[in-house]
Formats: sequence, structure tokens, C-alpha cells
Amino acid sequence: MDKKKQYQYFEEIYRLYSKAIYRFIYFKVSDYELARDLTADTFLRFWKTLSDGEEIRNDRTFLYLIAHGLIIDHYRKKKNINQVSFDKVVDIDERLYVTPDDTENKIDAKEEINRIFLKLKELKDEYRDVLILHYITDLEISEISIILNKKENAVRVLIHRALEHLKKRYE
Amino acid sequence: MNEDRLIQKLKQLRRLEPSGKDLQILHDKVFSRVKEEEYNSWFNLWEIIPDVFSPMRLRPAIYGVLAVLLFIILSAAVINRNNHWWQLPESLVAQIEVITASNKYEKAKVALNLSRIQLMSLKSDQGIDLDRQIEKTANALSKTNTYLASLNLMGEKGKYTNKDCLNIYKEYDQFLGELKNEIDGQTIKTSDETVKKYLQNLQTQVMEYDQQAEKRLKLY
Repeated sequence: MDKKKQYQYFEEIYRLYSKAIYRFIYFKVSDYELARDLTADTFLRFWKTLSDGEEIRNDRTFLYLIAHGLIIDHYRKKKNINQVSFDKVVDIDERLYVTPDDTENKIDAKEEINRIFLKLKELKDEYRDVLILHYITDLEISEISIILNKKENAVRVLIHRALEHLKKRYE
Repeated sequence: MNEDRLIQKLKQLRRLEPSGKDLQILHDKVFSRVKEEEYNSWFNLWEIIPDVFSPMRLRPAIYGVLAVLLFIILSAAVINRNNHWWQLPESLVAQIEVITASNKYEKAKVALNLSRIQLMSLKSDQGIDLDRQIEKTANALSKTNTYLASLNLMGEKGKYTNKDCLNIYKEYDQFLGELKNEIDGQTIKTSDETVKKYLQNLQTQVMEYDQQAEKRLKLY
């Protein structure tokens, strides 16, 4: 692929996945600026791989793999996984926009989304990871197993347990 | 609440998007860096060629690219005297990233990260380019091991602590475990005897480095 085509391809990948990657990272780190920086780093690493001429078999999986790795590195640098501050950003505000649906009451919809968002944040990391990756980012089990470095059966079990824990939080 | 309803609620979170302002900042940040790197790689001698060499102005891009490539290759060759010329172009960017890290610990961290990314490439390979991926993994691993072995276990003042060193060795130990498992998996999957041999060599390399890492960890 020549440079011009690589650039065009990258633009298309960015257009397709930038919001989803940002959303995924934000759900993990709960900090807008950090999510923005890590999203930028994710795409820049993708670009470096592409411009080096390396073959990328699955763009989406590779992007999430990079994003997940960057999040882990960030936590390692902080040396304390529990430093994610719940005081800083507790719920959805104007910096996270809810795409409108004309048929619903906007205030109720935002409240409902906010509620599930907060319940999700209460779960432990590995449960939150699998639910975000499978139901929100819509990744296949096989892709999630690559990203999390777990066997596919282990991912299925985690998803089941995560849903059970989330269900209890609604009761 | 039943499971289907819960899943529908989770899927509602797909409707969350960053604000227009954040999206613009993100876009500018990514594409300014991409364009900057592209500009640097096509550095043009146009501005500094005197008139006497004006025929060169007719094809400045070609001469500019050749000059930049020559400079990079010569610099990398001087810095990495033990590398074979034919390996340089492929790993050049990775090498430069490690070389420009500020101290041994930072070099080791970058090298370990690059090894992790290479492991992901190995995992996602479906058997078509496996021998090349194995070679790249072996090279990345070798560099990582070299940088890690050069760390002072007691740390270096102002650069990294003994705790930093312990943590990176633990991460390396864990990475080697993952790599071992991946090699085992690939060995079972492949029917190509040549590839099996490459995998066996890589496994030997991993086990040797694992022993070295264990010895160092025991010193803590």
C-alpha cells in the first residue's frame, strides 16, 4: 500500500472507530482528558504499525488491543489501580453526549443511561471489561479473548458472572 | 430484572459519545502528529540547495528522500554496529524509539512494550506469515532481555528505584509465561516442520531468559 493509500485508509479507520475507542477508554479510566490522550496514542500506534508496512489482520481488534495495553500501562505507572477517582467524574455530563432518539423523553433516557453507567462502574475491573467489550463495543468472544489474553470459554464464563453481578445491583 | 432487559440497558451505553469539542481536539492531536511524521519523512533539501545546483531543484523530493534515508541508515548503523544491514529498515523505527529513551530503565520498558505488541502480532497470525513473526518475536525478545539484564537491581539514583526494577522484572516474568504458552499453542496448531523448528528455537530462547529472570528475581 503506498503512503497516500495508507493515509486514506487510516482516515477511514479513524472515522469508523474514534468515538468507540474513546468511549471504551473513558469507561475504563473515567477521566475525559486522559481518555482523549490515550485515544490519540492508540491511533498513533495504529498509524505507526500501518506506515511501517506491517500487516494488520483485524483493524478493530488491533485497535482495542492497543487501547487495552495503554490503559494497563497507565495503571502500572500510577502503581495503584484504585486511583480512578469516583469524585472527579461520577456521572454523565455535557462532555458525554447522548445521541438523541425522537421517540423518547430525553431527561428520562439520560437518567436511565446514567444509572446503568454508575452500576457498571461498581463492578470489578474484569467484569466491567467483558461487559463493555461484548455488549457496548460489540466485539466477538474470539476478539475479546485476544484482547484480554484469556481462553474463549473463560471469557464466556466471565460474561455470565458479570451479568449476574450487575443484575444483583439492580435488585 | 431478566437478562435480556439488562443487556438492552447495557447497549444503551453505545449512545454515549464525546462532545464535539473533545472530538475536534482529539482529531487535531492525531492528525497533526501523523502529518508531522509524514513531513519529516519527506524532508526536502529545496531550501538549502544553492543556485549552482539548480538542476537538482527539478527533482527535490527524490534527492530529499534519498538524503534522509542515507542519514537514518548511517546513524542507525553507527549506533547499532552489531545489526545486519538487511534487518535495519524493518526494525528501524522501533530501534530509534528505544535508543531515544532517556535511561536504561526507560529503554527496558519501551523494549518490553514492543515485545508485548509483537506477541499480539504472533497471536493474531493465522499461520500465513508465522515464520516472519517468530523471527521478529525472537529479535524483540533478545533486545528486551539485553536491556533488562543491564539494569542495576538496586536502582540508579534519579533514574529508577530498586522497586521499579523489581516490578519490571515481574512484568517480564509474566510476559515470558504468556509467550511460552503462545509458542506451545502455535506448535500444536502448525503442521509445518520448519515452523515447528523455529518455534522450538524460540522456546529455548524463552526458557533461557526465564531462568535468567528467575535468578534475578530471587536476589530481591
